[in-house]
Amino acid sequence: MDTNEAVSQEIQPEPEPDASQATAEPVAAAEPVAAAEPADEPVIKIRNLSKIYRDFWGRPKVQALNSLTLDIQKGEVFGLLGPNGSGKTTTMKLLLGLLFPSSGDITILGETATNVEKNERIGYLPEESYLYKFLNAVETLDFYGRLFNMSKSVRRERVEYYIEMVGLTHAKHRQLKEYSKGMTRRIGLAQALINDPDLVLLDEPTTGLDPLGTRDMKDLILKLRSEGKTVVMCSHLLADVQDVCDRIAILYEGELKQLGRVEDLLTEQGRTQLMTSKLDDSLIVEVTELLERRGATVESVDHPTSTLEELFLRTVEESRERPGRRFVPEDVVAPELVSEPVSEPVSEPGKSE
Amino acid sequence: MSIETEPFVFLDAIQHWAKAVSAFMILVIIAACGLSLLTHGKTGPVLVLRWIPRFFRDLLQLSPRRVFAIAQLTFREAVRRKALVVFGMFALLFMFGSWFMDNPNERMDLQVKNYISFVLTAITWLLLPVVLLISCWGLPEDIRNRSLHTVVTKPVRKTEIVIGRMLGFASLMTILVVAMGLTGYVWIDREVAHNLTVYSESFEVDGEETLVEYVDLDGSVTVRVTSGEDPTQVTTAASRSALRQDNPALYELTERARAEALKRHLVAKRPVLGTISFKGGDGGPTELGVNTGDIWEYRTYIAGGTQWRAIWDFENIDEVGILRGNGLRLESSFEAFRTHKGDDIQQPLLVQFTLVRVNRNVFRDADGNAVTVSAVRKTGESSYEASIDGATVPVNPVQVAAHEVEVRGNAYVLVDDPDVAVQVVETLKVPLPSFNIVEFGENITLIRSRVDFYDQDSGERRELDLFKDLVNDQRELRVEVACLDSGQYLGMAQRDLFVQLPSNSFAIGFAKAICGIWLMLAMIVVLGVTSSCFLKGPVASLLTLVMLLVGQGFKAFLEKIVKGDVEGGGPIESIIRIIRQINLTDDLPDTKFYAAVKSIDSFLNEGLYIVENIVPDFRSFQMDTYIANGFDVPWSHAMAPSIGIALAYLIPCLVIAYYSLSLRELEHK
Repeated sequence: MDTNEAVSQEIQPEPEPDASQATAEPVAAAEPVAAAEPADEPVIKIRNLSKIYRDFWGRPKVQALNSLTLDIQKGEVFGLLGPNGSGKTTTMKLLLGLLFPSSGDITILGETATNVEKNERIGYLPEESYLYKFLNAVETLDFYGRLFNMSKSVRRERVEYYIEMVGLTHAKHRQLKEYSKGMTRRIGLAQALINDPDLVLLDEPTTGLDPLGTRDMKDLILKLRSEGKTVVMCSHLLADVQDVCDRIAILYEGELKQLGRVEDLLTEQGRTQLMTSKLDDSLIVEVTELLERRGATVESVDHPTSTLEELFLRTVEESRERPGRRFVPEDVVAPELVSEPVSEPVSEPGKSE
Repeated sequence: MSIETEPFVFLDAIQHWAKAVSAFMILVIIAACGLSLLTHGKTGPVLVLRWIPRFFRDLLQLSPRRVFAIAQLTFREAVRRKALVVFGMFALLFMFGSWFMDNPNERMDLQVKNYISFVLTAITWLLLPVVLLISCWGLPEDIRNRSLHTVVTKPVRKTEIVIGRMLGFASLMTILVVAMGLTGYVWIDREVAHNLTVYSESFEVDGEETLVEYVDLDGSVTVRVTSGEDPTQVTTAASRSALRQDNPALYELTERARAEALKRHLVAKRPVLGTISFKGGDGGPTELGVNTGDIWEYRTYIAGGTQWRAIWDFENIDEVGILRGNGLRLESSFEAFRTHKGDDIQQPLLVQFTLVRVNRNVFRDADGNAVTVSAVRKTGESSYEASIDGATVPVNPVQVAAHEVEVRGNAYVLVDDPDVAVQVVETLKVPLPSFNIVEFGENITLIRSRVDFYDQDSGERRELDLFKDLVNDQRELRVEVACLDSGQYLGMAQRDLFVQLPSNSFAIGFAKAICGIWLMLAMIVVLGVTSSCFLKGPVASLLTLVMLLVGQGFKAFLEKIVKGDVEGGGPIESIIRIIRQINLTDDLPDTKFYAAVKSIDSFLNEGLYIVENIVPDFRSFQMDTYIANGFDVPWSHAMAPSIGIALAYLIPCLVIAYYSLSLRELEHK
């Protein structure tokens, strides 16, 4: 077990697969591609990478990236953070060969960024899913499968598998122009994974997704990591990054400002937090006095709060298990509501995102 | 329409193409290296040179599955953009087109010409803008809305994107062209059949030659049938359907005649054109005939009742091909210039054809040097000698083909080397019976394989074999045309007399013309996709449109400018002439200023030379005039060059598109 795997297991517990993942069997790769780079070689190696956008006359307009140097190792989930215009997406596009560096070098999976062969092992989810709107989900995935030179039978299997995985089975024959933003992100993700890639590049993966979709996306990222895949994501939704990333880099105005493991960067070594089962007031006072006697400063004592995301997910989960249950505020008298027969909730397929 | 006598030589064309493309590519590489040197310093040219082999590597790794996937996507995208609506417009044109085109007073052959021209023009001009726009806007739109990002981040080669795009648009265009072509064919067939109200045809019925004349005018049908020695039978009926009910046998006969007449009107004649020269009043060769005062010298004239002759030399007189048509069919269409009215201005002129067997020789010494004919003496049965610089050397006659010989001044010379005189010996002459010509109409002369004639030398009738006795060893035949009416002149041009091979079916000729349209649209697709790889949609459309307009309408003018055949000088000189109001024919003053102007113009002319050679010759794809005039589209003079041009542009365009797409930042707008 290498260091990264150890770190990832330490940081996050293995997520429980959702219902769709449990039923769908993983499909064997159409053409397994042997890793070209040595085991200890970074999957992505960036050295002094700069990008200057120029105007029509070749004069420098914007310095989007300035001497970026970093390595991304195999099997880690790496987050690129930064405010708008900090160079996250530019870095991503330089990695994919959509932009050319003004200076510096990129090695990705042992190849240069402009080498097409490397794309066999890469999956890319753009910031917005720029797909062909006149195709439906099946046609879209089949098209991208063909671009990977997959045979018809492999394509058929994978298309079904990934459509089910991203939860679009009910809408697989609808044109993408009829999809909601969340559905479009899901099919975008499916196209990024259709080749079972070793390296997945996700540009703002949770943008446009509801909390459930966000959770699914984060679970998927962790699942990819557990399969030994490398994930690079850029986002400005910090909570999402914190939940899934092993390491992060923070960019500001095209320069690297922070780089390291999430827990190293966030842990405050000078402070300690104790978490216990519920204590009564007298015991709290006792513990506080004891700590103060020993020279420690107790800053606050209160009940821990859950995150809003957790509350939302819990509520939705309970609603699924007990359909028809409604919340009636205590100060509102609405007997007619309470006395109504409980009916099965009608889930509207499609634009429910 | 071009039915040249010299066939298109593929090998020469490929050589010329290879030289032109290599020169162009080397220039582009040098320019790219220079540019990269400025932008990237010393590493720039290395980067450029590193990209060169990638094209070939990508081409070798081309995946048909990926190409087909992109082609299919492109096709669906184009369909989604309502490209098929154009077929609806086409159908609409046909629904109402016949209202305006039917003209019972017009000659049937002219009506047929109108129908065919209308169909082929409609297909071309309806499809041209559609194909141009979809091919020029497809890729830029994909880049603009970033759909292409999800494609190029897959293991897709740029060659696959370009070829896939081209194939996708081409397949959509093919479907439209085929559908429109079929619809157009059916429409023409129905229109011609509908308007065929007067016809007369003769054919064998029960072993008897039968002439059927049919007239359906003014609400009644009249049929005249003349069979063998029997008197003509005239039958009238109120209508065609009435004739069908009253006299089914006669109706069947008229239907057969109708089918024959349709075949005659919808035809794809296969002409073999010859080279034309003249014999003057003294019987010697001359380049042109008499000028009767027409400014337009398309035709020149031979004087009637004199020794003036128009001479056609035909090559490739293929016995098998010609005999399928029961002999040698000569079709002629001459124009008279009358110096006196005579008894009747409509009176046809009397013309006589003479078949001549000729041998054309160039004399060469042992070193292969050509010797002037006048210096040659015959020394034996087949031995010759010539005096060269006072010395006598043996020389040998070497046969040359008719198209290698032309008349300059009053002598036969080699086309490639006009200093070399050619000996033309007429070994046998067979005058054919004279006949009256129909002006501006078809005159068909059928010469059977056994030719019976009156030999003036022996004073007896003789019979000769056309192919063995009159066609020479190089399968060539000469036809002399004489006008026998004194004081009248007969106008001749190269295309006024030709050998007619057995006709092809109209459907085949029409399909070839449709192929011409397809090739032209394919060229548009290739140019459009290529330009869209480095330009945005509107500019790419503009560039392709300019290429089309220049290549179609201004190519001849461009050629004239480049050759210096246009009076008024180059661009700067012509501007000065306009401003200073100097006449085109006046020489410019001999000053340093004007010398500099001419130098600049000659430099600009070099640029125009490049433009002329880059812009495709779209005229080559115009095959509608052949079939509209009742001719088949010849393979070697029309189909082969146009296929050659399309292929010739495909490869460099592919290279340009590949590098344009590879070397541009798709994200950068």
